[in-house]
Amino acid sequence: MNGRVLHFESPDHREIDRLLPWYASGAIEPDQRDRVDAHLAECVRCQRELEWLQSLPFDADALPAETEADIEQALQRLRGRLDAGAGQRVRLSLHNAHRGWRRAPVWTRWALAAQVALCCGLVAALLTQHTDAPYHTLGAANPDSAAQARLAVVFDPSISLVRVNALLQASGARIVDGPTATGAYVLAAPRADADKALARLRADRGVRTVVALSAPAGR
Amino acid sequence: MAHFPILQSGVRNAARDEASIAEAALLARVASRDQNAFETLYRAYRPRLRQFLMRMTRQPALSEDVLEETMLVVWQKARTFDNGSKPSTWIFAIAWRQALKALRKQREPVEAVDPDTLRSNASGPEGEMHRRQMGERLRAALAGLSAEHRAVIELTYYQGRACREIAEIMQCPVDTVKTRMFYARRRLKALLLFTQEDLP
Repeated sequence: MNGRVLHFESPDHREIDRLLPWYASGAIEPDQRDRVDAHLAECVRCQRELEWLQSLPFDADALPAETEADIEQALQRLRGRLDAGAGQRVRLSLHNAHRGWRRAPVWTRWALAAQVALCCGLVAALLTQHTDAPYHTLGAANPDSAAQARLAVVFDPSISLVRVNALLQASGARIVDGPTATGAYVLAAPRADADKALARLRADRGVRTVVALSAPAGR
Repeated sequence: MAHFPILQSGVRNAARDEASIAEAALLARVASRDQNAFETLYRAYRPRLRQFLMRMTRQPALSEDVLEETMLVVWQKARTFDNGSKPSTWIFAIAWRQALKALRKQREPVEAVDPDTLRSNASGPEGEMHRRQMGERLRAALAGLSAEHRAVIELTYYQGRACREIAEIMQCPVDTVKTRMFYARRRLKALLLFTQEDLP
């Protein structure tokens, strides 16, 4: 005997103990919350630990809010870097391309030059060909994406497929992407009718959230 | 009674969904070099990033530099955001990587806290003053944790993040987040107990 005290913890207790911080903060999955609730009803140690976690005065330790002048000053500094960054990247790309060309073996330079000449020849041949007017079927997507406005929408989980179809037809929109990690779908609608589609979707109880993804006109 | 800033603000899941979609829309505009959208995003994120980075670095000037670098990366890489995660998780993951890079450059001591700092803030009258002093003690105790432990505490209690989201931000397994939180709690408790014993 060496006099050491051994603590035997059930795997369940250990697992629940490690979930307590998120149980206390509220950011926990419902099934995990149920497990913690059940365990707390009979574990005094976890009850005490939870009480301790809930007694910590985290709200008294938040940073004081900044003034608008502070934020504007920080933003001003960043604006200068945004503009500088773009010019610097172009210069860097040109510099790297030039350095790469000089370092490349002679045969690589000849091969690249031949490829460029071939591409130029192909482009010239295409341009001199006779071109017919483009033909579109009625069902084809509008090739001009600028004519389409994009909306992000989250449907209520209880909405039926039939209702979604009816809603899309009524608003003149169609699904073009999604669902994203947040359960949102991207819809496309004719730009001229985008405001109407947005209002129609917003007014429907089966839609939890809808926002326009395209920048407002004139920006 | 719990003192969690996120819980007390009563943020609901639906509201978070809405915020995520609006932020994804802003990021899409940032990707097309819309500076107005970028500034809107900057103003929305600055308070949260400032709090997170200040907790991570404990140096106002350094946290300001890291915040600037973070938002510069957001501006440059917005087109790589693919909706695979929430915009806020994507932005905080950038902030976490930038903070780690800055701390590594400085070779920040991982487990350093001056016991005198803890003691000096530990006495005072009751009521509001007492609560403020408790906040001071908590701040000093948090400074005694490693950067990883501080980040887990900050993201859980101040930013209201779920365990899985923290794992995404810190780019580690969920079990690692739980283990870091376990040791962070243990160390925090020891540091707070240390100051408690010195109270009159």
